[in-house]
Amino acid sequence: MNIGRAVLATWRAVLADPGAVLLLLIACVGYSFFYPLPYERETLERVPVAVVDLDHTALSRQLIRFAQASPQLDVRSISSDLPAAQAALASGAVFGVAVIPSGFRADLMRGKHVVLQVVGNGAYPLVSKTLLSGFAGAAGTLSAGIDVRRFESRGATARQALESAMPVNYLARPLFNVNEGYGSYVVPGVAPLIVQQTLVIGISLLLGLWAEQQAAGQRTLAGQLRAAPVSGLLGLWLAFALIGSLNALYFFGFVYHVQGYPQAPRLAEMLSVAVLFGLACSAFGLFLGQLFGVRERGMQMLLFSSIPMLFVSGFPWPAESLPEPIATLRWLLPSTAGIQASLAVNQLGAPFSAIRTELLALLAHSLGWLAAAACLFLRRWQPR
Amino acid sequence: MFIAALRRSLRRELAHLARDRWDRALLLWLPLISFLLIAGIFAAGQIRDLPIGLLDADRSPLSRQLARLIDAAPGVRIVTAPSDHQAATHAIQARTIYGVVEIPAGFERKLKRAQGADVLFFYNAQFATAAGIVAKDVQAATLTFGAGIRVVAREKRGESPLAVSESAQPISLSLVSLYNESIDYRAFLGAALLPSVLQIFIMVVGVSVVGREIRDRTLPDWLAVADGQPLAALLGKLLPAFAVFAIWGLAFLIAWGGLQSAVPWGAHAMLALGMLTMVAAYLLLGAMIAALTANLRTALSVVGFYTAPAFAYVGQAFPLMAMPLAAKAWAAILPLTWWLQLQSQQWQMGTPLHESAPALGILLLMLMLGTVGAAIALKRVAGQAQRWGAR
Repeated sequence: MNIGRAVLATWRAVLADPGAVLLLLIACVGYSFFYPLPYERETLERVPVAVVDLDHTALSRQLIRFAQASPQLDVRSISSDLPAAQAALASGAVFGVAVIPSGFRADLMRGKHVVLQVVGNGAYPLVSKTLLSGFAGAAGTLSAGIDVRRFESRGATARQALESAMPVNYLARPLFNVNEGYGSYVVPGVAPLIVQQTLVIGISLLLGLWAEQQAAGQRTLAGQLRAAPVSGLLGLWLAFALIGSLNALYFFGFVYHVQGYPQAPRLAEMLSVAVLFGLACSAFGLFLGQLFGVRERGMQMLLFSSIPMLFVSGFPWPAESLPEPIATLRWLLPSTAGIQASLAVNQLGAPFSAIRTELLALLAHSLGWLAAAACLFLRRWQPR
Repeated sequence: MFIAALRRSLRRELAHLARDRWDRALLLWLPLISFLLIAGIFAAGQIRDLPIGLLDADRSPLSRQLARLIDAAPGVRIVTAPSDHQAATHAIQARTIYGVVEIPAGFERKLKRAQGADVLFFYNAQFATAAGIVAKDVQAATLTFGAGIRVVAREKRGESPLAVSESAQPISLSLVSLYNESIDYRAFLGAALLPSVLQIFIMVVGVSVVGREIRDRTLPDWLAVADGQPLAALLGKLLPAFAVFAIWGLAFLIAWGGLQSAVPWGAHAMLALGMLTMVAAYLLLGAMIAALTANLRTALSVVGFYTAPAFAYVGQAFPLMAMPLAAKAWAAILPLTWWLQLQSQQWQMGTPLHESAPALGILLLMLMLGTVGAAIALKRVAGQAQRWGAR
């Protein structure tokens, strides 16, 4: 069988197997809707909070009004009952409590420094961050007003007062994921992993069944392909690689766009990543898939691996904080280079020169895992 | 009778495990590897020294002073000085740095004339965990620098040093982070990820223990061993997996419990009870799905869909309250959601026991549903010989 025929025969085998169709052709589409669902609203807004006002002055009420105006906060209760607010925090009714101390206005008027205590739930860092920035905004607005008034009272012009109130203007600007949405952060990082895992498990489903049939003395496609081993193996590899690449392109070109994630892809780079990633995952799958020997075993053994694979990729957890030998061994997985290259190209708009390492790694994966798969291929499918 | 049937079913499963090294790996080696891996990933606990760049167009003593202050912050490290914006962007795209601090020309001059000098920080928000840390540390360092400048400026104007330091910032914010003071990632992320991986193993095994017998058409042999009693057959066969995963679960509670602040005895007891309930619930829900689908491959696909992306839905990384209704509903039918709620309440928040009772109650409910459902479905599929053997 030449390569072209081997590719076609592989695709026919995929289409004839409902389990393989589900994993190789349908799963990515399913996950592309299922995975972004929790993050539909993207950013955290209107975190429920309680304000405990122990001061009861015009100034403390002004601070509360600023907090109520903040889009990040939803002031659920204003009271002077601290224990009640603490109970609300413990039960999860609110995610933060701000305490305005008594003597707040008096101290400020005397020019004394006042500390506004914000109590957040540390079990949810993302919520605490939103909470803090909401109250910081409110306190900052009030502070600036007080500072300016103080300077004006000493005879400075309003402009001078404003400028010396803030000698350094700190301006932080997010790049790429400019709205800092959670879905647009996490989904593009996970997508290459979904492509890899569905492809590898799908391959293991077919190869596992063929191994069982071979053991039972039946004819299998792998046995037929083994007759012309070079074109046979290359045909298998390319057939699955194309499926992986198309799944990757479905995410890169379609899902990110439909979900409205910020994107800056360069076409040539995006296509290269999709093709090389497909080739690497296919070779990886051909190697692993031949190890198991039973149809369902790949699913049993590999389902757990997605979470550890994601966390060693350097994406949700910075690679700089990974200890050895994890920091080195993680490069054995196509997903590590695939996630990095895909994020760089699709989200950061990186040119070829910025993803050279990852592309070389994917090439090395393709060739290395294919060589390993070839060793198994020659042994496992020997005619009896 | 029931006990004797259960014991024979147990013996049948033990005999299988003695033969099958792959199924043994699923109970022993793979969970061990994931435990060590997750412990290893978060071994550092805190994220430190993330690389950033510095684009200093001012090159003055004051700009260098600011750079030193930023470099001294624990979370960041200045590793490169790109010559222009293009070089800085390229370094961020190549992911060698997470952000770049820009000090524009005229920084020192503007500061000395009190004209308000800009400091810019561009960070890669696509890598949000790292971005959050570098942004926080660069901001803190810059504001500290600014406060220092302000104190000096007011002293020059002849205000007394005491009055100056008093009013340097009229209102400051102090965040008290209850329940996880320093954001130790082992205590926070590692503690949530391990149960998330564990539930995948438990349910895969639950499905396999039952699905294997249907696939191999050995269902009648198995039920015959247990005198045709589906419940005794199920419980006996799942017992080895329950024992092993109970040990893994309790080992996790002991290993990670040390990272939590003082936890009272009542909370320990509740956590142990919750863990055992969750393990049993996942096993029996898995057995139920295997019997309902009568196809191990289909059942494993269902389990993959149910357990593998579960971490995204449980509200640990992104809070449940911000999710749409459909996502909240999906989260509610995952035992993991309720376990993690119980875990964070009892480990981190010191919630009174009775307030965690609903979560434990729901886990028990899921266990009951799984037990009854699995027994009924098993009885049904036992009479449908034409469905056995499906791949």
